[in-house]
Amino acid sequence: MSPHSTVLVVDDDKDVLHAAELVLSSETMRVKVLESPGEVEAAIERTMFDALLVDMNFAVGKRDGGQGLGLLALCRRSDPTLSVVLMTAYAGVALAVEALKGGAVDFVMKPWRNETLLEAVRSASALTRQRRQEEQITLDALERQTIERTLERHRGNISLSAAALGISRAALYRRMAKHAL
Amino acid sequence: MRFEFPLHALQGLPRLTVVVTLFTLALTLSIETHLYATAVVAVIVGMVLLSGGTRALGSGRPLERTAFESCAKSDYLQSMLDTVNAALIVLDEDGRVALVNRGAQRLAGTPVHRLAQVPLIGPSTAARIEVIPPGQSDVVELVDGQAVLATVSEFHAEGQSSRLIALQRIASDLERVQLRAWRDVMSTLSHEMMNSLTPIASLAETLHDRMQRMPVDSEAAAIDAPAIEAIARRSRGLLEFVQRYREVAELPEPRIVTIEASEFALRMERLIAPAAAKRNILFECRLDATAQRLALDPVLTEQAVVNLLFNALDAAEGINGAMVALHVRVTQGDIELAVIDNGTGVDPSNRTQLFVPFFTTKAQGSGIGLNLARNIALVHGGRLTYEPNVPRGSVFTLVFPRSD
Repeated sequence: MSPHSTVLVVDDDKDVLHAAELVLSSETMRVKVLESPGEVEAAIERTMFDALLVDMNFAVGKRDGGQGLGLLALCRRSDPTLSVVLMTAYAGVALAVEALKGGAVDFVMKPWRNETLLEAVRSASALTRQRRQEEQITLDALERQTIERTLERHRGNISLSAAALGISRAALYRRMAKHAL
Repeated sequence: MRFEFPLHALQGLPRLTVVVTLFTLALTLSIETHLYATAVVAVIVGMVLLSGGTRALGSGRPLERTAFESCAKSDYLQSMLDTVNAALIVLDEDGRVALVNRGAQRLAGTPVHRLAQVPLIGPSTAARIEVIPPGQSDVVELVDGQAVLATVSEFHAEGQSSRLIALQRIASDLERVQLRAWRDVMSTLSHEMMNSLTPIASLAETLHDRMQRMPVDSEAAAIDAPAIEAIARRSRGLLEFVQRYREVAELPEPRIVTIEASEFALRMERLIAPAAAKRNILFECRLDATAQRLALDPVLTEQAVVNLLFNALDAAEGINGAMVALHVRVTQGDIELAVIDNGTGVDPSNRTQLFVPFFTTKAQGSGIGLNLARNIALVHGGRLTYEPNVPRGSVFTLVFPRSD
C-alpha cells in the first residue's frame, strides 16, 4: 500500500471514534473522525478519502441499520470508487447481506478485534486505489482511441484534428506524445 | 358467568343445556387464553348449534317429540365439544363428576367420581379448584408440575346447581410469553453491551500492544501491563458470553418435516455411542412401536436431544453401572423424546432453576444447554419436563404436540 491513505470514521460514540483512531492511525494511514452523519457528504466532497468506516446505527434505540445504509447509498452516488466498510453491534446475517448488496466492501462486527478492523480498512483503501487507477486507465484509453480515430479521419492533419477535438495544436501534440502516437 | 335455565325443561334438554354451557365456556376460555384456533372451532360449533336451535324452535313442534332428536343433537354437540382442547368437567351439587369431555377423559386416564381421584390433579389441587368461586379462574399446579388455568362457572339445570370446571394447560403459553420477553430483553441488552464493549475491548488491546513494546524493567511493564491485559481478557470473555446467548435468543422458527423415527434414533446412536463408550457408560436408544414417523424440526430437535444426552452422560459418568437412554414414543397427542440417566440427579434445591438461562452447577458449564433445549421445545409449541428417575438419576422429556 502506498503511503498516506486517508480514512474517515463515522460513529456517534466518541469513545468508539477514539478507539478506532488509535487502531488505524499509523505512519501510512491518516484518520479523520466525524460524530454526525449529517456532515459526511460535505466531508467527502472536501477530502479525497481512501476508505470510509461507518456505523450502521446512530439514533438511540435504532437497530435496523437504516442510517448506515442511507449513508452508504449517498457515498456510492457521490463517489462510486470510494470503498465503504460498515460496522454494527447488532449481529444479523440479514443486515450483513443488506450492507453488501448496498455496495459496502466489508462488514465489521462490534466489538472488533483490532487486527480485524485494521485489515478491513486496509483492504478497503487498497480497493479504492485500485478502482481509481482502473478508472484512470479507462479514461486514458478513451483519450488515446479518440485522438487516434480523429487523426485517421483527417489523414494525419494536425490542424484539422485539433480543431475537430476542440483543443489547440500544442495541446494535441502534448497528448500525442503522452500516448506515443 | 352464570347461566340459568328454565326448570320445566324436558328430558333431553338439560343435557343439551349443559352442552350449550360447556360450549359457551369453551369459547370464552379459548379467547381468554389466546387459543384462537380453539376459539375458531368453538365459533363453528356455535354456528351449527345456533342454526339447529332455531330450526327446533321454528318448527313449533311440542318438545316431547323432539326429545329423541335432542338427544341425538347433544351427542353430536358432545362430539364437537370433544374437539376443544380444554378439559371440561361438570360436578353436581355434591361434588360428584357428572359429565366430562374427551379432554377431561385424557387428563383423568380412568373414569372417576371425584375431582381428587384424577391422578394428575390429586387431593390438594382438587381442594384448591373446588374453592374457586363461580365465575372466576385461578392458576393451579398439576401433579406433574404443569400450570393449569382452572375456570369455574355455575349453572342450574334439573333443579340442581352444577359447577362446570374447565382446565386449560397454560404452561407452554406462559413460557412462550416469557421466552418472547427474554428475547426482546436480550436483544436490547446485547446491543447495548456490544456498543459499550467496543471501545473497552479495542482500547485495552491497543494499550496492551503498546505496553509490550515498553522496557521490561519499567514500572509500566510490571504493574500496568497485567492490569490492562486483565481488562482486555475480561472484555473478550464478556463478549463471547453475549455472543453465545445471542445464538440461543435468536433461535429460528422451526421447519417441521416428517422423518423416520428409526433414522433419527440411528443418528443419535452414532453421535452419542462413541462418547458413551469412552466414558464407560451404557447407551441405548429405545423406540416404541408407536414411534414410526415424527413431524418435527430435525435440526433443532437433534440439537435439543444432543444437549440433553451430553448432560446425561456428564451426570452418569463415574457411576457404577452408568446408563443413559433415549426413549422415543408417540402418544395420542404428543411426540415424547425422553432422555433417561441413572446419574447424580438434580438436587431438589436446584429444580426451580433448571431451565433458567446461565444457571449451571458445572465448573465449565455455560447454563445454556437446558435453556436452549427448553426453547426448542417451546418453538415447537411443546415443553421440556424434568422428573427424577427411580431409583436415581433424571428423566428429561421433550414433549412436542403432534402436528400430523
